[in-house]
Amino acid sequence: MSRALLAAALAAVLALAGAAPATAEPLLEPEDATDLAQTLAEAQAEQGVCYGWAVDVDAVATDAGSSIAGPGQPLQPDPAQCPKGYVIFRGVIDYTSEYEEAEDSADVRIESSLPSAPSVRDLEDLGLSVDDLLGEQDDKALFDMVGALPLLVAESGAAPYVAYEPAPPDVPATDRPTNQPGSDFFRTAGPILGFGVFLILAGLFWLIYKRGQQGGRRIST
Amino acid sequence: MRRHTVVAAGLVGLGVLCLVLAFTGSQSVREYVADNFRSAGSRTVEGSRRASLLYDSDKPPVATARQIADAVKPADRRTSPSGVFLRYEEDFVSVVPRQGGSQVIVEDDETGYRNSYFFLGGWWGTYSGRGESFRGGGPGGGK
Repeated sequence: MSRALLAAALAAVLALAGAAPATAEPLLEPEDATDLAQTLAEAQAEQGVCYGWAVDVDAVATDAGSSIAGPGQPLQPDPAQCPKGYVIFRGVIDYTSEYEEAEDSADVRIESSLPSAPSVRDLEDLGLSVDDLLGEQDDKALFDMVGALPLLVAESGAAPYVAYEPAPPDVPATDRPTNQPGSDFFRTAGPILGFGVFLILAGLFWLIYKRGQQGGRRIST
Repeated sequence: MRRHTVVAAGLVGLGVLCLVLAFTGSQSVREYVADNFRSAGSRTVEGSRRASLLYDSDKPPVATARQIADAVKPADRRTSPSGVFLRYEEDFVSVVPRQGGSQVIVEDDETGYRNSYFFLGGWWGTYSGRGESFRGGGPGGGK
């Protein structure tokens, strides 16, 4: 009886843990959301296309912003401010508990009034994967995906490119690149290098193994 | 010759071939860009200590950036409305739009970070920021 009660209590605890609502945190920090909105606003000024983003995590709206109203406000397209149309990045992220069989999932949809709207495939061509929204750098992934939309709109011919301008001379001298990347050589040639070493070691192991077997047969005869 | 010796020699030979390919086939991003795109000279942005090397591509920025990244895998990449930025061990490569295609800018990491500060700041280095509030677009709302 006591074992049955213990099993029932354990099952109840597990069920409650699985049913507990996830605490949905925004992917972007407030300053990054502001930066992204400002970036899109500057693109809108040059292109006449409005941009926005809206992300739900576990059915909770966590991130939103637009080139018109700034961070925190989803885009409300306004023909007066968006003469050439609009593009909205919509992301849906679902995290599952460790007791569920289903895996975490992310889905992206790009909603637009443009005839040749950017697509998820276009983002993949830029090296941006929807699964990146589930990774440790989910904020960077979201920022890059949304930030890429004006570039993709320009590439489709729907609007002009946003011109690149180097930063002015008053960039703070104390700001510098950090997190030095690893070797370019090993990043590019690492797989074939590793496979080559594996083959060499496999050949040597095979030779030693077979000679050891032969040595054993001679002794036994 | 015993069969196992032949097998071992074959495996070792293939392995050595892989090593040779790895060392002779790899190319720095500077070498790759110089070999595959038209040189457009160099420029020194005010405040930068070193010149940026410029190259022209007939392809749009996304296609050019993908070509470079497929050939020489970057450590990181960023996209922005104004182009694609690829980070390497000691170099930054910016692929930005130009009339008729795109321009490839090759710089050392310090120069590249400084010149593309508003696109890379805070993500690839320290960033003092350019403003705390949303200003919107239009005249006077720029960087």
